[in-house]
Amino acid sequence: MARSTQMADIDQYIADAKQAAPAPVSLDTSAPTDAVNAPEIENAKTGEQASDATPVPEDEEQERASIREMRKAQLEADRQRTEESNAARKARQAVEVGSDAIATTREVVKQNALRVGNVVGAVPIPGDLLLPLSILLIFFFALIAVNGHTRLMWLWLTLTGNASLTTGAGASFATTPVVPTLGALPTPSLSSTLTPLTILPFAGAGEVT
Amino acid sequence: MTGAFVWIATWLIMIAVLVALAGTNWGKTIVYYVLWLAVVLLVVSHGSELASLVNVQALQLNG
Repeated sequence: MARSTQMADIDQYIADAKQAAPAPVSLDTSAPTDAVNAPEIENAKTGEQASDATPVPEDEEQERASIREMRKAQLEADRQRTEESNAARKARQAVEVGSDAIATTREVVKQNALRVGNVVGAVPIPGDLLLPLSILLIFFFALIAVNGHTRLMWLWLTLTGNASLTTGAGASFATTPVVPTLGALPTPSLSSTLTPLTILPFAGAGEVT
Repeated sequence: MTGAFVWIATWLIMIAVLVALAGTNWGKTIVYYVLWLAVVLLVVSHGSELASLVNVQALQLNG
């Protein structure tokens, strides 16, 4: 059923095409066989004009010259456009090469830094940070003496009022801090003149039993 | 005043840098060994004082 429908459509199409076909071209046999005012034909091999070319009017010669100039200008423009496009392409390629090199270098540096970071991070740290830090603090505060005392001792002396910082913060720690001295104690002295000892009478002195 | 300010600021900056480094995976290792290096330098630079701590003859009573 469908096939017969398609065949009918094809027949209809062919009939329409035949009706729409243009009428055959009728030849004018009275027309001259030679070309009249046709453009001169150049020899395809030598590029020279045919010897039997008819003389061309001046305006047509000028028109052809202008056409040749236009073609020459067009060729020159094409050439310049090609050169410019080449230069632009080269510049673009140079920029792309540079940006690619930068991106590649950045990627390489990033990868290497990541690898070095991983290697450094994989180094064992026995005792963690607390171990060297505590040792350092012990040395700093409890073992290293400054001006005769350790820093902990200076702290204790300061807290107990036996030492104080010099006035004016920022004083050099190398200078000896002022340590307030206790009031001068009277030095025990013996008098130059000794009083004679008096013999105390004992109750039973002289008594002999 | 200026001397104390510079001294404290320097220490604070150094501590901040060390804390920031210790927050990273790779920086923690660096801070760890920098602290050990500080311990070594401290021991070397104060060797004579530290040696006196273990020197019996250096011990003396006051008064």
